[in-house]
Amino acid sequence: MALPAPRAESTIVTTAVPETPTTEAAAAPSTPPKQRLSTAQMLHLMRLEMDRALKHGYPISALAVGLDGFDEEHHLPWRRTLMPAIFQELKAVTFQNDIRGLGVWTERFQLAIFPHVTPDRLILMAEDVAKRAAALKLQGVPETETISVSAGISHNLHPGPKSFESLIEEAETGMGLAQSGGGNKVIQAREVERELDRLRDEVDSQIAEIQQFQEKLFSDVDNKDELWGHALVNKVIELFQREPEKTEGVLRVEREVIAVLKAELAAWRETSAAGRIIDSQKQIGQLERRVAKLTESLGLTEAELKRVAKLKNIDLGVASLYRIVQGLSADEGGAEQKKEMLKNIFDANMTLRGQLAALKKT
Amino acid sequence: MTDSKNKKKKDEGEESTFEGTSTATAEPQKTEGVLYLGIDFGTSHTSVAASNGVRETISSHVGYPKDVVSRKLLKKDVLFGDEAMEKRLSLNFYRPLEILKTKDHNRDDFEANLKAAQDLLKEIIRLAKPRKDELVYGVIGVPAQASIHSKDAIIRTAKEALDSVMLCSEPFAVAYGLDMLDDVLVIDIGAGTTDLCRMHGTMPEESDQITIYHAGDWVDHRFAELMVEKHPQAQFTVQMLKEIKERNSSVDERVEPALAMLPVNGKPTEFDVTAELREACQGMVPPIVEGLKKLVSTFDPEFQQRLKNRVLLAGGGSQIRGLHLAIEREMHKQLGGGKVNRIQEPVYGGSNGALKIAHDMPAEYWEKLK
Ligand SMILES: Nc1ncnc2c1ncn2[C@@H]1O[C@H](COP(=O)(O)OP(=O)(O)OP(=O)(O)O)[C@@H](O)[C@H]1O
Ligand SMILES: [Mg+2]
Repeated sequence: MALPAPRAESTIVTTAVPETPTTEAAAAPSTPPKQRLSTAQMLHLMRLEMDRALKHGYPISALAVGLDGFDEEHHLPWRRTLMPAIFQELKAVTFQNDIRGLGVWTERFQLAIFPHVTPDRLILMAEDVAKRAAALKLQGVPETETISVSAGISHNLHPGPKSFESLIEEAETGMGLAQSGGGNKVIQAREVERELDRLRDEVDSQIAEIQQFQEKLFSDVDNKDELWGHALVNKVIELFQREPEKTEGVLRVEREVIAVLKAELAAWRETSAAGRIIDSQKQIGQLERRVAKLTESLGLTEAELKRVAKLKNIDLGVASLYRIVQGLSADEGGAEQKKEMLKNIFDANMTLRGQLAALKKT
Repeated sequence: MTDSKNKKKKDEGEESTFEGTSTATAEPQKTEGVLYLGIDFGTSHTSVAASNGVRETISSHVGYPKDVVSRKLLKKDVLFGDEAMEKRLSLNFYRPLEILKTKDHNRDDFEANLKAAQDLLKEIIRLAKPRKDELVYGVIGVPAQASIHSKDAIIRTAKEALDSVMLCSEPFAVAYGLDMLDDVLVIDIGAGTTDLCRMHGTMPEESDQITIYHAGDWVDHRFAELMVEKHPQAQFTVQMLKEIKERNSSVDERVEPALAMLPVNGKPTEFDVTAELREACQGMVPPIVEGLKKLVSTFDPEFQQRLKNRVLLAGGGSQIRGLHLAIEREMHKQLGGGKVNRIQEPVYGGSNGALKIAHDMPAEYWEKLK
């Protein structure tokens, strides 16, 4: 092996800080006490351990631990005090359990891997670390501040693809989910997967339901393809089924769209039941634009979510309060006058657009 | 009156249970899935009021890390609001609206400021938390005197983030939000400018608006001049004085003194700045009343009296204690009378009004401005 192997009896062999920039800010005390290996070297060792575990088929688990709160912008000094102390606790717990691991700490989180350790065992250890962290009393951190940590756990005991990267990412994701779920929790990547499975099932059953609904709705229509509703529903379902790998956020978004579709279909059925065909092309157009917008953002979401999911829960936004009517109502005070003003604003904007278009040409 | 109102309410309630059928004929259109935004793009603050109930305001500051190292440290590519202000030393720092309001496009940093304004607009829209499947329509209040280039930039940016967008003048939005459309004079005291606008039932025109530069920033600088004069030993920045102003500003001859801790040779020392602050704030009164006089005297004589008695004080600067009374007193001297009211929510006056405009705007107009 090119790099020095960790000493056999050592628990967590070293601490390291990430590539801290070498400027005025780096002058702040961030160098850990006994730095033996650089972060890069340590990560290399961790990767080797993972490779070995995969090669020989023994269990390996990873743990990501992060502080809840103490945002990095405002509480960096506290983080710099707390993180190494928590790392010490992690070492102590590792030692107590008589196992061996490799780890690094940074201001943001700590990462450790444990060959031959199963996730259920690691959970107990993580909970112990969390308990010890909560009891820490450190100089420089006000006692009034509640310290709590969140942890994510991952492992190689599942059938999916495995690599060092995915191991770390899953642990980080678990940690992120724990933090966004209120903190002071340990979440195993497997649990997240189960939640995904549950969502997946739910979406599947919603799709099935909507398909049945559709069947009923259009059973008496001959040329189904001409119906916008039919085509739209199929387009959306097809789109969703095409997305192979779905993150939690995507699934939630998907569930939302399907709910929207369902509601629209229901509203539409009301009208067809009344023997009418929807005549408002605008409404149709709008729904189509919404779906287009949503599916467009799904593409983005995939890439973004992976990153975001680590730290935050997916924020689907706040729904508009004005769900039903819009526009000036006739009985509002000065309605006529306002109408005219609104038209003036609109006209002024149309004129402005014209001017801008002309500007572009010159 | 109340009876018919109640009846109307009841009708609406019934209709809403089967929207699908009723809206095809009813006039107000069904626009489920549209989020309306009112945005006030001010020199000092950018605010949004949204139809989902979200209201946010951030100071109009944008900063980009100066170099790779600061970027690593700040862990962000762009910072906004007070955070940008706080860390401005490691940032390329902008107050983009200040530049957008000028007509000077030949400045070297015009493009950079434009970019900052665009990022700021995107950020405020993000803060309104639109849902991914919602169409977002926004009315943006822009300074009356913004140049066509600036408007172009604002529209271009807005179109990236909004599904449909309209601009309207800031003071108009304030008045519309308060339902005061007739014979009203709005005084919007912002950071860079004080905008006076006369409303008479239609859209205000060029001749209904006056912009003066006696506004928040002017007060800060005047305050600084007076401090240098009276307390030459005190060390301060304009930003520090601005904060002192925002805590203590008053034109009243009030009892409670305004005390400020300022360093003298590095040692924090207490100063009584009551008189300097008051004088700086009072400096705004004469030019404002001068502007009011112009707008009143050129108004239809029959309605001048009414107009004088319907003056609305808005914007961050309206929070100076006693200012409305001081303006009234000056109006009595110069115009023989007048009544000034402060609006209740100086911070959201513009964005609330813009939201109301957005919401009242007929759907087909929105469609056309996609
Ligand atoms: N309590 C206060 N007392 C006095 N002035 C205040 C107070 N709070 C805020 N201000 C001042 O109000 C100004 C900002 O007002 P506002 O937020 O309405 O400006 P803006 O709309 O961003 O600017 P503009 O309309 O010029 O584009 C600043 O100069 C600020 O110092
Ligand atoms: Mg303003």
